[in-house]
Amino acid sequence: MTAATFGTLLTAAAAAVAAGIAGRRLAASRPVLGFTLRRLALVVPTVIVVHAAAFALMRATPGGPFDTDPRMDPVVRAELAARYRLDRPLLESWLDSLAGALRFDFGPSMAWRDADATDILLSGLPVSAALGALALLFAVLLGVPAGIVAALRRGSWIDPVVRVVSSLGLAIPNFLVATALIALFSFGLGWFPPAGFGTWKHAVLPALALSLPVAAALARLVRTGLLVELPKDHVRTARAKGLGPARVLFVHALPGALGPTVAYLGPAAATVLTGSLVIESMAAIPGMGTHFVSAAMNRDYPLALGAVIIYTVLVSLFNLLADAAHAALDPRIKP
Amino acid sequence: MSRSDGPVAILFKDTSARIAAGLLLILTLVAMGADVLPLADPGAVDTSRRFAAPRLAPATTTLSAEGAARLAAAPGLAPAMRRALFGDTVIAPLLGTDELGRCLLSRTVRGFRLSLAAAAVAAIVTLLIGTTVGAFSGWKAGRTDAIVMRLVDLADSVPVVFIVIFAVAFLRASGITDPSAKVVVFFATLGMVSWITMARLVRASALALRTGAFIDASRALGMSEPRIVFRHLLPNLVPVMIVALSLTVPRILLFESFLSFLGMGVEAPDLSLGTLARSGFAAFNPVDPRVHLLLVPGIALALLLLALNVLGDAVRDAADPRLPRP
Repeated sequence: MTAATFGTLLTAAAAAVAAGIAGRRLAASRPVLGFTLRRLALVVPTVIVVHAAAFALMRATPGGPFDTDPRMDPVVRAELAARYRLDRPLLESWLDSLAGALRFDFGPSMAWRDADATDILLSGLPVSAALGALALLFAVLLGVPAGIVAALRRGSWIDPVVRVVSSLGLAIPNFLVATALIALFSFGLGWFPPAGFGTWKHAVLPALALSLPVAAALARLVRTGLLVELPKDHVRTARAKGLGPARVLFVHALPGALGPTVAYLGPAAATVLTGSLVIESMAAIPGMGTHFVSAAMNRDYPLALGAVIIYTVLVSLFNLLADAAHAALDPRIKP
Repeated sequence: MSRSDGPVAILFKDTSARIAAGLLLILTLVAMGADVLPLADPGAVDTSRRFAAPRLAPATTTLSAEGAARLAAAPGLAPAMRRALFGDTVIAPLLGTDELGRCLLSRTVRGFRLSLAAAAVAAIVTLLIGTTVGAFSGWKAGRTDAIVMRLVDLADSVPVVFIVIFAVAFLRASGITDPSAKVVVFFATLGMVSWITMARLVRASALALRTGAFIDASRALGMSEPRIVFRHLLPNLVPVMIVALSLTVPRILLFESFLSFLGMGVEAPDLSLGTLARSGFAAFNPVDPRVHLLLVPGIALALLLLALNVLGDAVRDAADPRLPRP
């Protein structure tokens, strides 16, 4: 074990413990901040567990990635094993790899021999982030108004239409949605390109395909939340004292109704990230999803491991943000 | 509805739940009876009719001499029933054919069957792990419960999709060569990652039930702890298990098709809805989109998921009437 490995592991452990203790201290005076700190402290053990699982899977596979070519010179093979630190004792290479993961340094890629796994992933991250952000935006723009309208117009034709469409949105697999969108808007109407990435036009169809299941879930959550909130006394009072319908809805009914919706944005981010694996591969978008899928197929250990760790951290952070926002919005929630 | 209505009666008062249950029953029967129905051989290549579009007439044809010989030689009860019922008649490729001229209808039915089997195996694994963990944690309560649930929280923060892709990719390189063993391992992997919802719901229910009067009564009668757990606690957990399954099974199905679509799930010559969609997407192009190759398996999957979701919503409503009806 090198000094750098030891230092990283010690720093990570100290940071996690410090955040946990600070979070516990602040729990009474600043509940949301304290909760956020305690959850941040949990990110480190999560990364350790995920890393251990992925590492175990990698090492449990019989035959290393360089054992497949029978003509390879044993000297070359030994050189390669040394370069990728496959020749070290198990415990040492596990700790080294874990420390690297905690520093976001995943070592050289095995498939792209001249590149670092971290650099490849970082080149894909902005692409995936832009796509995901656009998808979440579409989902909110489509889902929240649909849920509001369905709740307000309960009993009219709009409510069952929203219900059926949102059930369909949850049931239709996103590769089907993506194909339908490509067939219609790029092969048929020619408005958007079918694949590739570069301009904003490239992002519209993939983001739309990614957003549909999230929009469907949001519509349902907003509708159910409003249906619980609208008959409550404070909403009736607001209406009785003569406030306009828009003010009643946005100021008095919605804030109380949106709690579960805000909490869902964490899982929603996970849904979008997962969906982007398929959508990016389909549309040949050079994001993290494409890199991860091809790395897993090619047994490019460092790249696949790095992608899993980055996804783990992203999902943890989104869940944390969503839960913190939920707690800030609704003081009854004891985080 | 009257107060005496049981949950099943409440469930089937809902028209959409009745339709969903009927659709599910029909789809399952077709999938299970696939060997009896006069479907074309899903692997029979006919390059004279590559990428044929869906066409409703003629509805049936007769088997080729080679196909008839194979059917006559097929062992088992199902082919015998097929020979007795339908003879040499075979359904024409009503839904079109794929890149090798194979009947898409027949392939979709087989793929559907495998996807259903995937869901069933994964559901059983989910039930086993989730119920064991949840019931243990809820029954023990106290410190054991706190420790187990923190571990479940930790397991829940692991992004399972990525771990499964990882596992599947490395499973491929492992020593398993028997294709059916690979399929079972794949399904079991799906189940192993989707037990958390089950564990949480079962645990909450067990925690509430363990202080119930009937448990006190069983204890007062001098029953042993295993007897109380298996004869009295577990039967009362069945409703919550069904609710958890209604949440988990659609997710597993979507997940299976998703992995197979990426080329990481079921491998040829096995068929699932996801692998069919994958080959449909490979044939998709602007000049001749051949959309039926993607639409047929996609719609089959969407119908199945829609039926399961609608039925699941109704099951949850019936199980907990206090919830606001969505």
